[in-house]
Amino acid sequence: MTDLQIGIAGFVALFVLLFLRMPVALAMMLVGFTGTLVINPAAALPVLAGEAFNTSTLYSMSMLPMFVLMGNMAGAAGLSRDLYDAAHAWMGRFRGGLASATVVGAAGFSAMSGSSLASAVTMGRVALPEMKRFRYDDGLSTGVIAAGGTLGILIPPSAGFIVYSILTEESIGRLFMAGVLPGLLLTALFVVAVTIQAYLKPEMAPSSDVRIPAAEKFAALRRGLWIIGIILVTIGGIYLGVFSAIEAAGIGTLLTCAVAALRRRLTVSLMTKAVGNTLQATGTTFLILIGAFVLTPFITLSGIPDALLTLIADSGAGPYTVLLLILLTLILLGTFLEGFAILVLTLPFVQPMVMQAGFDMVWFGVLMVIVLEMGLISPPVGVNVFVVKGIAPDVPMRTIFRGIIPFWLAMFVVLIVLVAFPVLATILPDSMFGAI
Amino acid sequence: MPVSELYRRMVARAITVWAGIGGMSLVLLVLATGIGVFFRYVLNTPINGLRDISQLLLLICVSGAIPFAAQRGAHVAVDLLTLTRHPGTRRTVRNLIAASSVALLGVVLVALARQGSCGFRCGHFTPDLVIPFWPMYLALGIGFLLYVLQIIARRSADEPGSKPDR
Repeated sequence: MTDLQIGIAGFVALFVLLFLRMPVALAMMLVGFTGTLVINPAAALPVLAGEAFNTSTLYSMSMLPMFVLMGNMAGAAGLSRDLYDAAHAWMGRFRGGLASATVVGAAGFSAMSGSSLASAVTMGRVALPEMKRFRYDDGLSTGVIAAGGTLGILIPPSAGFIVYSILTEESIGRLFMAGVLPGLLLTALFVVAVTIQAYLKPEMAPSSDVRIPAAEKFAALRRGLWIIGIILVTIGGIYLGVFSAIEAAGIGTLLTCAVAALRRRLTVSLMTKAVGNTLQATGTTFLILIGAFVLTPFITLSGIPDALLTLIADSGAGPYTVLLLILLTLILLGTFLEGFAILVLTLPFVQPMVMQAGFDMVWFGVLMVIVLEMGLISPPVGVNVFVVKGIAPDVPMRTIFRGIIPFWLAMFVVLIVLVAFPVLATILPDSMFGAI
Repeated sequence: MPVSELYRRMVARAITVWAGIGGMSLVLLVLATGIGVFFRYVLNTPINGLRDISQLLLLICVSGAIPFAAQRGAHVAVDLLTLTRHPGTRRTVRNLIAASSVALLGVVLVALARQGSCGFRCGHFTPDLVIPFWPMYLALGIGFLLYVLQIIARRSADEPGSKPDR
């Protein structure tokens, strides 16, 4: 058996294990270890121990639990409610205003949390009762929460970008900045999607006749300014080069705790809940990363990436054909695989192809994260959809998936716009660090 | 109380305690980062070795987090097995997967013990404060060991006639 055949057999085994419900991380570790053992026995044990240890002590990864803690603290302390209230006060009167306010609130919260799940849960708990009160269509209200939550992995700080930067060795600062404009564009398109639906079918989003006095609007905005201030300090600090991303994570978390304490919302039970949820996300992400780092040497040893590159070169496919094929494959994988799993499973193959095609890896990172976002709300395993279902158990899954369609299409539009105009992703990192 | 129930409770307690230590490490990591920024930018005196401390704290946090996430059933899996309606088939497959996971994690523990025991002669220490790596390998090993115990506890809870732990 050649190394390439062993590699292919390994991948078949990996997919069998995944379908038999072995945790993704363990499946990658098992295949990676066994494959390395077959090709290069002496390297198998050191790779297993070395990757587990190196990943768990990777200094640049320390920002991940800190950013997740920052978001969880803000959510648990009710600071995210302030954001939603501010957006609600200013946008609530417009057609579909509550749903649009949910998108804007989710975008704001995403700038504090790297997790789309945290964004969906937090915004869902705050916004869903309001939309139910005003008799919004179940599909629209649950769809907007599931889709709004996905902004969490595009708008910095983003767990998706952190993992991508670790796997590709791209600058996390560049990636964070590259996500800003596409994130804002997607937020705007989500609002447009809500507005179009509200105008086409007014019964989906009955307008609220409650007029909020100007003084109350400004009071709501003032309360939201705390969070906006934290976002400006952390993301602005990274942009201006005052902080590294790791330092911004630490400072952002401390500021969030300070604001929660100032507003008398910092309690031991709140801290315990936020830390517990952060540990859960940390354990999941790090174990997947360990699995990916054990699998990667096996992939390289098997020669699959080289064989793929040769195949592409022989086929005469142009760079954009390769890109299109990659994106379509990722979208397809997103329908049944979890986002981080796709990231770690495909990057070892995709990275050499994208680099050979001459594309910017930071720009491609943004495309990939948007595709992962699409996966988060794609049937049958859209994680955010299950989160929303947990908050709204009375709404059938079919209704939630129906409500998601306009937002999924909005993501697809952003993907096309970014492929056509890469400058949207590269202009901020280039202005900050200089063009590569 | 049946032995399996007692075992599950003990594992749950151990994971909670270890996660508590991991959680404290996370809080300390945040504080260490904040202190580092304060000394560097405000006092203009960078603290030597803070990076080593941060790495140590991160490792303890990760070690506590892995079994904790397993206890909460949070490790990512593709749930297509539910398509099989036959409970016997599902149980057999789950037992097989659990056995493979336990075997793999056993190998991870052996690998960590071998690599961790190499010590100074292999250059296994932090660059600034020269903290030896072996306690870190031990801490990571505890996390993986608790994960193994949690998998066994979960399987024992799913056996017919046993009381589920969650």
